[in-house]
Amino acid sequence: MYFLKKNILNIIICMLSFGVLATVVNFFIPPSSTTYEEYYTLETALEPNSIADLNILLNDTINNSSDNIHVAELNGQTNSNLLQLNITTESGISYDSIQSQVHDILEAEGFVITENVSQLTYDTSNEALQIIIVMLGLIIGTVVGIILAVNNNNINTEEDIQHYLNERTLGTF
Amino acid sequence: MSANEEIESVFDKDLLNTLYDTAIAIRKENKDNPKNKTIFSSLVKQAATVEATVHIAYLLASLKDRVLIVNLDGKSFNQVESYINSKAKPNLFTTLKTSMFLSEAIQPTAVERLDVIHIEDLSDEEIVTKFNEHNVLSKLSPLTNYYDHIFIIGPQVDDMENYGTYLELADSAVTIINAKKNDKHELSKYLQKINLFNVKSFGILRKE
Repeated sequence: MYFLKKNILNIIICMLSFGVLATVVNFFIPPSSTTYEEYYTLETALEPNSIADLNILLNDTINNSSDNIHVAELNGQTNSNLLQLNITTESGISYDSIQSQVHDILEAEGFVITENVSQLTYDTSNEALQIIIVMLGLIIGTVVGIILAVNNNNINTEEDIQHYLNERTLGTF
Repeated sequence: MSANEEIESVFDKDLLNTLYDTAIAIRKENKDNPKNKTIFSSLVKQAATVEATVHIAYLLASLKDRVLIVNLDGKSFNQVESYINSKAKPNLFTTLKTSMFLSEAIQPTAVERLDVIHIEDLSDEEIVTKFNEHNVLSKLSPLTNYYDHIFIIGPQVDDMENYGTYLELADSAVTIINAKKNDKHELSKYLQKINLFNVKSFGILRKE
């Protein structure tokens, strides 16, 4: 009990220091996935089954490349010439390559892109990994704090002298 | 400046205040056990050991007690003399070589009622041999009849392999430690050794 009473503050400081370090490390952890939302205008309007057919083609080709995420998806309204393309990438999947493949498919199906209206990008952070890193940091910090406390043979206070040496302190000069 | 003022100026007033309670505790203990000889020793702070011993001795001498400092650390001769200014030469074994009585080695100091005996600066082996040869303990004990307090300044504990030579001379001990840097295992080992020699520990003085 005395060991804890004496060292708890140092152990907590050590634990928090490693927690802060782990949080800093998290800034360098790449996102688990990135979603690119792009809007195109087409030369011709979309027909009733165009979007469904295109998505079937995407599922048969591009979307086979990942078991975890839906890599490419097209959206649009019938009779509209506005097309929405969502590309989601994860580690090992190149955005440029996917975009190029989608463009090839659109071209093969007879759709001509006249203009790229806008592009938005969203990152999905790797929360599970970040939590694990912080927890690991806190655990390592606690262990390091305990090891440092155990190896600290210094007697710093009059209370230490009473506890460890069973002696009284006559004075400090 | 008078001689008394000159002596007073050598001693640190704050330190005298700090050590006053310790001096009173030692005084009370030695009044109950007039045969007490107290050893002051340290594991790492030899200068502090001398500083504490001399200041406590001065305090007790100021309280009209008769105090004898037996400086058994040849290396601390100059530091002890810087306080008490006895102008004496180290003469413990030189005296015992020709005399049966240790009292002949006693030198008065500039502080009233405070006397000193200095050991010569010898190697560890020589000291152990000479201690055994002259049976210092039997010659030191009778001096308790003439003094209220006998303070032994032991050499730094770390420097000596056989510290029992010094501990067997004492009945009580004050241990000085470094307040910031010390080792509880080393200290504990030393305090156990003190107990082994039936020396009563007064307590610990911390030097910052």
